[in-house]
Amino acid sequence: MTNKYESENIGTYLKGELSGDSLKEFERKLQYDKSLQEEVELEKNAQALTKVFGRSHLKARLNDFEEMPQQKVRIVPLLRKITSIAAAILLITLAGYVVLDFEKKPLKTEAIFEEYFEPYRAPISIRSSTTNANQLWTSASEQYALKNFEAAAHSFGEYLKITDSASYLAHFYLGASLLAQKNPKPAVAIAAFSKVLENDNDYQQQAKWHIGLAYLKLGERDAAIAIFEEISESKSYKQEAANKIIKALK
Amino acid sequence: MTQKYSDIEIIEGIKTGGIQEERFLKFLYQKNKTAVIDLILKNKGSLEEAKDVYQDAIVALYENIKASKYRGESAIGSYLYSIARFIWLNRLKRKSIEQKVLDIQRPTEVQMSHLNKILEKEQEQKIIAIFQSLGEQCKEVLVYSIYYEYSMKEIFEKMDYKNEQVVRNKKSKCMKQLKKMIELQPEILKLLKS
Repeated sequence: MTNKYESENIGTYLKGELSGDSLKEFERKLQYDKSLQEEVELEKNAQALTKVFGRSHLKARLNDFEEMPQQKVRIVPLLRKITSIAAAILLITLAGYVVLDFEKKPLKTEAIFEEYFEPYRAPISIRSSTTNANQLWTSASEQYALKNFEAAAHSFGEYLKITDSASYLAHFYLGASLLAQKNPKPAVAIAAFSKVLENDNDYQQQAKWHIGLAYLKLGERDAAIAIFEEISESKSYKQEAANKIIKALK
Repeated sequence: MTQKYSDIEIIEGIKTGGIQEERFLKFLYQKNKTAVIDLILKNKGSLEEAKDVYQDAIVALYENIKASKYRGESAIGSYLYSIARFIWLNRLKRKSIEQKVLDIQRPTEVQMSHLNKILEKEQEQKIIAIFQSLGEQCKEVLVYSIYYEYSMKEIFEKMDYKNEQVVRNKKSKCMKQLKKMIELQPEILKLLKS
């Protein structure tokens, strides 16, 4: 039976990343230790099987680039509602900083927001061929990691301007920065997160969750319930938390 | 699609891998599709076959980039086109062999060549079923770490685990499960093609 140290070394050995004395020692043991030989063979086979499965997995991902997947049919009608509500709120806010009076339990929704919101993990650096963009992204990421969310929001906004891109990641983190600020800007955050929902990517579920939280912050109880019910039904990211929030709101 | 990428950016983006490779894959896929689909349609292929060949070509290109077998020596569109052409020619060759076999009317050989096609699809479905039986989380952790070569950090971010150590533990458990399946059903290894 191989020990834990050897088990960990098997993966490293198969990747060709074992070197020096560790490699010599491993190969020496491999020559006479039948149990280690079997473990290495098993690991090789498991990895090979995973790689074959990986091809099917990648082909399925490529299908998503063809057309909207079925579940998006459910998102689109809600997306229109979100976009139109976000646009309306944004207009009113920009026109003169009018405080909207939401009739349904603003204090309770705010309390739920406080309970469930936490700043999303800091982004990883993304390479870009444009030096300015790269610097802006790095700066934005660093500010976010340091919890300087106002500065991060500004940098993500600038990044989006100069790359002129539909970068879902930048929109997501712009929204995340706006929501994590000392004085959150949930309406603008919703607009940013809505951009993430426009195309298929890895952050859609997180964006939806944050839109729900932003509605809580705004006191938009019904809109928040609608989003969290979607999350609950799709059995996706934060499903359990969504269920608890729905119970608390109803 | 507003963002455009150069060949170098695509190669670099896919080679780097991780969460951000998605946008390069998507751009690559959408940009080069028409030329390949046209090739197949003009050469006795159906739309379904064309899409299947194109996706196989993209998978082959993806793996070649990851393995540094393709580094941008030729334009990515041309390289992809030639992979697709190669795949399609092979399929046509197989089809014409089957046609000749049908003409000669040797039922056993006809059955065998059709059986091979069905077997390939079945093998693929069996492998998918194996991984489905591991559960969604295991399936994703294994494929993202071993096939896509995501780091533990990237998997932790993508799949919303608590931290990297949790991902490491999960991967270890899932690998143990997969290995157990292989030990209990060694015929699974026949699904691996050389």
